[in-house]
Amino acid sequence: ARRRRSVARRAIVEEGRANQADLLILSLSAAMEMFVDMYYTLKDMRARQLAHQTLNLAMIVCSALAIWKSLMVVTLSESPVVVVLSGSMEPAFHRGDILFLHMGYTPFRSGDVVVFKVADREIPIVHRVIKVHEKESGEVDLLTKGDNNAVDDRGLYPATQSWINKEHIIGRAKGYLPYIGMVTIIMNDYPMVKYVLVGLMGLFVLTTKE
Amino acid sequence: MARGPRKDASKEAGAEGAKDSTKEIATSGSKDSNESADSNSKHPKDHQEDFIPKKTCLGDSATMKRMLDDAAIKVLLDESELGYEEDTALSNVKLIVGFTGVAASLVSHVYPLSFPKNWWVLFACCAGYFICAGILQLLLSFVELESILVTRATKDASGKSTPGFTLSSHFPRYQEIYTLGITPLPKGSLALISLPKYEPSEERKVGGPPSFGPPGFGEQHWDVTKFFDDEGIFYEEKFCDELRSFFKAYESSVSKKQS
Repeated sequence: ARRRRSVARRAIVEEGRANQADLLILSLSAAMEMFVDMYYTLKDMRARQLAHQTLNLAMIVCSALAIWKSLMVVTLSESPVVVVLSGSMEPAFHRGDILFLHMGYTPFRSGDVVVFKVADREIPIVHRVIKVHEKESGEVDLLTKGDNNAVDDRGLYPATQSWINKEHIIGRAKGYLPYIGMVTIIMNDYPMVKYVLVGLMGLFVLTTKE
Repeated sequence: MARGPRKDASKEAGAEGAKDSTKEIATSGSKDSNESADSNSKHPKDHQEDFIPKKTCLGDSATMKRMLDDAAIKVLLDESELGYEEDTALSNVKLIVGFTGVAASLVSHVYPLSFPKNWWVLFACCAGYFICAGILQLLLSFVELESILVTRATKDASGKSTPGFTLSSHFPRYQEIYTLGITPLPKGSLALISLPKYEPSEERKVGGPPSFGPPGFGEQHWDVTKFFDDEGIFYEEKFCDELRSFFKAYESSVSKKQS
């Protein structure tokens, strides 16, 4: 009886392995067929049709660009959507959250969460304003600190600078989406993902039949 | 012994599984393309090396319509037989408007001034882009509709010129009747804007002769199951023959009405 069971078990395992191999072969052959078909579609197109499909692809890319630029126009900030990269604002914002920025017209006050860029650092920083000095000339001096940091940001400013001003500020955080920014962080860390995704999208748009 | 027959049974099951999998791979084109939206595949016929037939999944209406339309356009524009020329005015307008919009958005990206000094440039470029995209969309939704080709006016050997026409195709999703209609267009493709949407006539007499109503019009319905077999292979030559007879009948009806 034990021998019968072990033989049956071996048969099931072998069949399982055969099924896995089948699945792999099927999916690979389907992918190959798709790419071969795309090649033939592009080859058979008349020049005018190809121009129209290229225009389609360009319009899609440019509409994304135009939407980004119009967000810049409306929110008055250089980068209307940013991704939080560090954990210095926990528990309010975590690494991988998306923030929507808006410059606003109201004066800056303590408690505002601002994104600013200082002279020798490329990457903007998201921290909270803790001190505000408004001078008679209209200039404003601000001091910032991350909620999760032990000290204020004077260590991050350039050596001669103790305060930041309005021109360093990119915008105030007005809204946020949790976790979605992880996609941007992944694409930043592994640029191959970016190229592969964009390449695939381009191929699909050029060869679509609708 | 108990072991013997059972082992043989499992070996047979393994062999059958392998046979099934090879059959599955051969027809995987039709099965797998059921899942993806826009797939068709070509596989070489066994006995003809250069001729690769077109094949599609039978449920993929968009690809089928595209194949039928391409065949109709190919037959019409073929120099050796019917030799019509394409009227490219509307297509050129679309291309120019489209690439203007693309250029506007690219300018907004590469303009040398930094934010916020370039606010007005950005505003103008975005406005320009959205206007161009709007015009393109209007052209697509209200002017082009079902037309797949517009031809230029042709001059007969005797010097008589017949106006160009627009070829419209009608092939609703998941249905089997493909209709080609010819509507005369005396002023060229830009006049498409004044044409109403092409509606095929109510009674679809499939397989019947083409109908030529008012002068210059023509229409014929085909059952697509005659040109696609069970596996989805498209018999282009057969369809092209039908198309040629339709267009020749149209030409003779036009010259009859003119004379």
